[in-house]
Amino acid sequence: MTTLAAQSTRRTARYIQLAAVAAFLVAWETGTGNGWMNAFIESPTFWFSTPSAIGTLFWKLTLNGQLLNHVWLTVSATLIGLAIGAAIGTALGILMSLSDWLEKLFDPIWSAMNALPKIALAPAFAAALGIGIASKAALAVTIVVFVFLFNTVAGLKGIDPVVRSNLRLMGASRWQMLKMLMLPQLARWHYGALRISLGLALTAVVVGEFVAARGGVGFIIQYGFGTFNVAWCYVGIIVLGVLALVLDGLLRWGQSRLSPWETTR
Amino acid sequence: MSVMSVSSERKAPMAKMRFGLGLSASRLLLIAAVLALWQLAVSAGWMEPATMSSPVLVGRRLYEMFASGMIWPHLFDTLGAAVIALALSALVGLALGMALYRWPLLEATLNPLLVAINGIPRVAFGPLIVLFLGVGITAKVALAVSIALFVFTTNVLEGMRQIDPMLRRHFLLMGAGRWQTFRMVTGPSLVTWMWAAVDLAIGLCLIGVIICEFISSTSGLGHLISAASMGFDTTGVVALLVIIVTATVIFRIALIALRSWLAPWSK
Repeated sequence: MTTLAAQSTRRTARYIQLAAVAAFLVAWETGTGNGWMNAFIESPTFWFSTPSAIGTLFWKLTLNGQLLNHVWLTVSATLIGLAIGAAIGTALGILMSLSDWLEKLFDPIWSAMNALPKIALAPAFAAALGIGIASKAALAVTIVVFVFLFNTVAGLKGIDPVVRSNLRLMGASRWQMLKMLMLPQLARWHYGALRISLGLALTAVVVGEFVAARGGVGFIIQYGFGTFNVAWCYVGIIVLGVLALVLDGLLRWGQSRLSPWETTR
Repeated sequence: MSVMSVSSERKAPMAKMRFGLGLSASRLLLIAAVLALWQLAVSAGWMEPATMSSPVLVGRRLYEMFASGMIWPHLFDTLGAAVIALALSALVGLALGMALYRWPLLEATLNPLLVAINGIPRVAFGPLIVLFLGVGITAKVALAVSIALFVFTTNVLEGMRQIDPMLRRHFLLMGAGRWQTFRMVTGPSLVTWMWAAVDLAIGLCLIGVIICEFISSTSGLGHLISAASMGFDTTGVVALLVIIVTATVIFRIALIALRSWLAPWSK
């Protein structure tokens, strides 16, 4: 009964969603220009652009290859930042797990550094590393490092000590311990860390592009803002949203392929 | 948890033997050593003070900023916007979460929208928000709320779902009214979830405000950092970062004190 009721709720919700999206787009398209929005504000097209103008701009940018170029700049900066941050964070995490004393010594220091709003470093990185890809990747690294550091420490700590001593008892070598115990354990934690830090890294890169850049999705948005071409802003936001969803989807797909023993949510 | 305590029990005497120093003392020593090394490197001329700054320079700059009073309006601007954003997102998030729990159809309808908005880095809306609301505190609060709101909504929704339905049924059975149920069951258990959200949201609100100040602003800590960086003023950037970190820490301590006073059961 309950499932049936839930199903019908979901179906009703689908219809409402479709109708709402359609109504929204129609209202947007008809309201701008000389439409009904003029009753409320002056020149609505300036503020909200129109769906058709946004679609046209999107198509134009896709055809002349600019969009791909911008997307590539953002994606590469994000992935570079993610990779470097993950490597440093994991290495630091393993180092911290080597000794209790070291971990306790550094724990509040890492926490304090993590609490620092690292986004605030964006202009500093732009000044130090230039307006190219390096400053964006570096900003992403400063954020991603801590996610991986904390996850590695927590993951290694979470290993069942009984399993560990059993493996050792059965004569597992150091390499075997790493391969059979630590890496699978870290793999689980790292997927969590990857998915969290992907969004964070993307945000960092976009902020970096707001501050100073020659290209990238954040640049598209900032360009639209700077030149009062709101359509550019909307194109950037939509592209960024799709990008975030696609990257997250790829990660989830990769997780189900690489560690099938974990059930994906 | 047990793993940690076991291993620390085993290793604690050894560590003490080897280093003979308390943990916090070594921590302070480490920080002092890093600062001393930094100062030494600059003083000895291995590093340029113009690009690397130095602890003494930063300290002097901090003193100047507070002594001349130039920092206060900026500090209040940023922190004020962050506090307003925090309060606003807590209220709206609570209301939205409760509404989504109360009406499943609403939740099913809005869910894809919430997931989509949550998936987009909210920062992307920054320039648009500034364009709509103008340069000032309204835009800062709006961007911060757009980032922090969903933390509250999802936490409240999750908190409502975690409440034992039996408990609620018992209350109903004993003739508790809606307000009584809220005061005695829903409220107290939501407090824990709300605090968890607040913990996350403090940082998010501050980040939202600072990003908005990067995009376009006439005052605020983000504005100052942006200006200092563009002038290659490393000392200024470091000094401002110190201020931001200190403010965050004080903010957090104040909230923790407030929590243990308001809801002692939630810790």
